[in-house]
Amino acid sequence: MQAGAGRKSQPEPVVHSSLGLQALCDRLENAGSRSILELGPVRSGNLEFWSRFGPSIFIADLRSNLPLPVQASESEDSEFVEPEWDRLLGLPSDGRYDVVLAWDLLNYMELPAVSSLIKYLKRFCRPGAIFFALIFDQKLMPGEITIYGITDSSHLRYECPTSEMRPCPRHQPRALGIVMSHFRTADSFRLRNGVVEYLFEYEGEG
Amino acid sequence: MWKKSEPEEAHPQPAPAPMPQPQVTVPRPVPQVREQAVIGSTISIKGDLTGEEDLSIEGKLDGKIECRRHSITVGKNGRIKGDIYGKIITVEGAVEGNLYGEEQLILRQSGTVRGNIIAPRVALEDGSNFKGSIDMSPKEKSSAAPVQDKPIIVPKVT
Repeated sequence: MQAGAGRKSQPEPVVHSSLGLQALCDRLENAGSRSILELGPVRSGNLEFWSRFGPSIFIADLRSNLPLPVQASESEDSEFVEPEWDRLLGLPSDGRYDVVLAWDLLNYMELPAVSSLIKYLKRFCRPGAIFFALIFDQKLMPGEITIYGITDSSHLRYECPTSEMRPCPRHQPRALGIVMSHFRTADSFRLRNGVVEYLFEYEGEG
Repeated sequence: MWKKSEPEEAHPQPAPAPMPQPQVTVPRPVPQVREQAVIGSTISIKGDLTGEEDLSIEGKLDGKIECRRHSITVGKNGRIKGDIYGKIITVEGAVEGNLYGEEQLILRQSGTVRGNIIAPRVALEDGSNFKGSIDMSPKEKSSAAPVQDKPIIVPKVT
């Protein structure tokens, strides 16, 4: 089916290796109990997988709540309007997390919106927290945010809700480094499927 | 001629009176069918619910539900605004509030929860709609009494 034909079709899920997930698990293995912030939707298999690293996980499910793509919506006086992250994420004010699972969300946000999200999330991250993101580096990307199912500690099942494609912003490492202020790139892995997996580590603001 | 004696069964003797049985208290068998209260889809309740039996809700409830030793099922038509305390909680409908499961919480594909889940075992079916935190801490932590929102009453000092 051609993209944009008006009828959505869901392609078969595909399993890809994930060196980023493997690296994240290696870090968590001996780190004791960790709190996890899942920006994606609830997945029973993922929940079971993460439960071995810590008993606490917050599911924000931005995918269901966010009008995508998140653009740097500008008012008439050219001021960037911050998305209502409080309402969209619904995080408890005392929530502190060691892992943030963003998956491919950042691809569907323009850089000012990414910067705004990171600025908001920092207050909920403990120093050393890992921000796990998948960045597409190809001309086209899935038309909607993909759902990722963890099959094991080094494989992800990509479940694209639609076969339609859209242009990819191709966020570059340098640009990401700027908007991810107070985070450093701890690891990055370029996969054969055109995805770059990033592990950003929060260094704190001190 | 001697009359042939008739067999004994032809002359049924009156049955001996049954020996009085000693009074023995026999425990009643446990009924196999568990009691379950059902709140139908046309019922709307404002207020808290407590009970000592399983509960199934298809209606609307605005308040707390507390059946800590029993199963609570929020059916597909069920709409709850308030916290739920139960042994095994199953959600097929919509809940806006925190869920405290002593043993397990199950969120079915048709279910929607806006709130936190505190239970040692949690099963969330793919496709279900959930936003909130999941705490699968050991029981001694999870069963701790939640912080009450009630104001603290300070006695007057005269």
